[in-house]
Formats: sequence, C-alpha cells, structure tokens
Amino acid sequence: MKTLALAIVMATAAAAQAEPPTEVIATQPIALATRGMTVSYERQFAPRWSWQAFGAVRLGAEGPDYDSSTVTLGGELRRYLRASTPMRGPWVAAHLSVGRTTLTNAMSDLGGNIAFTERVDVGWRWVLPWSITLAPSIGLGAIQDVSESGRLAPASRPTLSIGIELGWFRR
Amino acid sequence: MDVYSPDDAGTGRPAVMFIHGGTWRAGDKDHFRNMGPRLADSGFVAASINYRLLPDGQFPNNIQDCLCAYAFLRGHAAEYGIDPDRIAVMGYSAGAHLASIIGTEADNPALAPDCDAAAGPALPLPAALISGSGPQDMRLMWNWLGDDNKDIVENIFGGSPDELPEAYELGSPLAHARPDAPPYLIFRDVYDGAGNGKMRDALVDLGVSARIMEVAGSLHILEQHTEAGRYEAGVSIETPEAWLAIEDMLFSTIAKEGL
Repeated sequence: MKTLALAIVMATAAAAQAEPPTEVIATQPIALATRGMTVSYERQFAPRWSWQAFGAVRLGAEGPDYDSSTVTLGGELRRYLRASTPMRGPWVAAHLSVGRTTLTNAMSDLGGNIAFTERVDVGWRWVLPWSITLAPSIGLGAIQDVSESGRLAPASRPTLSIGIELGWFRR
Repeated sequence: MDVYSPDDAGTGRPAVMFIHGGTWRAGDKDHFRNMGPRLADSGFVAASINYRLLPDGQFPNNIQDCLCAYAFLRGHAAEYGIDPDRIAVMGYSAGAHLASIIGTEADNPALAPDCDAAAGPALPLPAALISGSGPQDMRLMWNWLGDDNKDIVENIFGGSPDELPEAYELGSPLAHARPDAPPYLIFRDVYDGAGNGKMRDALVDLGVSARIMEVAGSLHILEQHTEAGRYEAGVSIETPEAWLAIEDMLFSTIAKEGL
C-alpha cells in the first residue's frame, strides 16, 4: 500500500513538472432533470491514469407525503487504454461511493439509510469543440443498503449501472 | 411459493406476501430475491408467489391465484410461524395491481377463488398494502395507453372497457376503495396514467392511512439509487427512499407490536 501511494505521489509530481495537468470538470446531466446534481473533478496523475472525485445531491422522494434527500461522495481510479490521447477514448475504472439518504414526512423524521456502491466501470470520452466532453459509461458491481435504525437488516444486491458525463476538458 | 424465514424459529411473526410484475404476461416470484432475504433477516416471514400469466392468466384467473396463495399463507400460518392477522401484501407493476385488488376486494364474492385453501368464510383484507408502480384503475390505464398499446389491458380482460365494463370495474381497485381498507403505501413512476394519485386521495378521503411516493426519475425498471444521474437496473421500491418508507410502513403496521 505504501509503495502504491509513493508511486502515485511520484507520478503526480512528475506529471506536474512536465506539463499542466489534464483535468475535467463534469456533471451528470440526467441528474439535473431528475431533482439531483452531480459535480465531478477528474485529473490525470500519470500516463493513462487519472483519479476522479465527485459529490452528488438528490431529492428522490416527490409527492404530497414524503421528502427525502441524499448526499453522496465517491471517487474513481481510471485507466485509459490509449496512451496517445490523455484522458480520451476508452477507460476502465474502479468506482466507490457512499451515500446517505434521509426521509421525512409532514409529521416526523423517518430515518436514514447509508448505501455503499462498488463497481467496475467501462467508458469512453469524446472531446468535442470548445473543450466540451461527453463520456458515457456502464458498470457492474454491488450496492449495500444499511438502515440507520437497525430495524431492517443490511442488504446487498448486484447492480448494472449506466451514466453519461457532460463536462469541460482542460489541458 | 418461495418462503423466506428468519433463521431462528419463531411463532406469530408478521409476514409480507410479494406479487411480482411483468405486464401480467411474464415474470416470476424470483423477482423479490433481494427483498425477501432482507425482510427475513430482519425478522419477517416473506413469501413470493407465482400466478397464472396470460394467456391462461386472464382476469380473474390471475387474481384468484393470488387470493389462493394469500389464503394458503393464512391457512398455514402456524406452519410458517406467521400471525395471520399481520400479513402485508406487496406487489410491483402488474403485481401491484393484483396486490391492490387484495387490499380492497379480498372478500368480494365475485372474485372468490375455487381452491381448497380459500374454502370457507370470505378472506379478510390484509393488514397492510404496498403497491409499487401498478395501475389502480384499469379504465384509466386503457384510456392513457396509446392505440398501439391498448391490447396490453384488453388482453387481461378479453376486450375493451366498453365491451366489458363490469370486468374492468371489478379489476380496478380504485372503484373499490373503502373505509376499512388497510393502510396503503403507494409508489408511482414519473408517469402515472393509471390512478395511483387518485387512489391515494380516495383512501385518504375515506379516512384510510394512505401515502404516496413518486421516486424522482424512476423509469419502472431503471432507477437512480444514491448517485444522482446514474441509472441502475432495478425498480423504484428498491431505492433507499423507498426502503425507508417501506420500513416505516411495516414497523407502524404489521410489526408495530414487535417481530
């Protein structure tokens, strides 16, 4: 683990000395249409490699009887398959996130749930004119739900996930 | 019927009976393979049932199979460690429609099933009802569907609402909302052309505890879990906000006095 951390630090330092970093600020546009928002920041730290951190909020429950909010933090370690085009083209990634959802009704707080998501994603980034990027991805993994009240047992289930990032590419 | 039971033997437990979806034509009790074990691990007995599918499962064959399963579960309550008066019925999509019929018409003689399990007095209504994105009024659904899709509903009944008004009325839970209906928790998708909001309002007007949740962005078989904007293959009743509402529903009704 220490070796890996050292390698990441050295690679990041080397990349920083060599040229300005390649980075992307992005969002999931579908979130904006479905009562949510995701913002991510991705940065290259070595040839073919980047890390991404993201935060998301979601107001999932609508209607007259419930309100909910979800706050999620997560990150990815991405390996781009093409060395010639930094942070472009196909990638594979290890993806982790943790999200906390709380639910209320008009009368009371109905509790919270913490969900852990682990996936392996594959995706593709295109860089369009004006440095706009589009990056669809698909992932397989698992989700664990943990009720904060403890009344329901933790549960785990497989997941197949799809998403698309819309962002701004800077190099 | 798949039965998921807690590891430790017990008696008089609350139970949840699942009815799967699949447009009345497809699907399997295996759809609840994630929810069943979670409820069992939490102290509930969960049972997931099959029923006749189209073309054999035309109404009322489909609901009669569900009523037979419900009666069987009640009749074998001691064997499964269940309190027969603490059974919730839960369904998704087409299964939510059938579940909601049980919630309003389990005792309707016009739907009385011809099976040994249901022989005897009329079945009581369940103790709680969870309806996940299913139609509550088949006439509304027929009207809402485009001309190319009306056969989805017509195949269930064998004709249109104009041709078979009594069957459509019998198969529409909204037409049978009643003051002694069990507490209802209703989920609906982004589009709701089949009366879920009307069902909630009708029950509330009758003094029934009824709540509805629309899960933002839910597309029936695609849902967003916690990562806003990313879709997961899954159903709205497995989202975290839905689980929290289901937990509240179960622990304020069938598990109110403990597991």
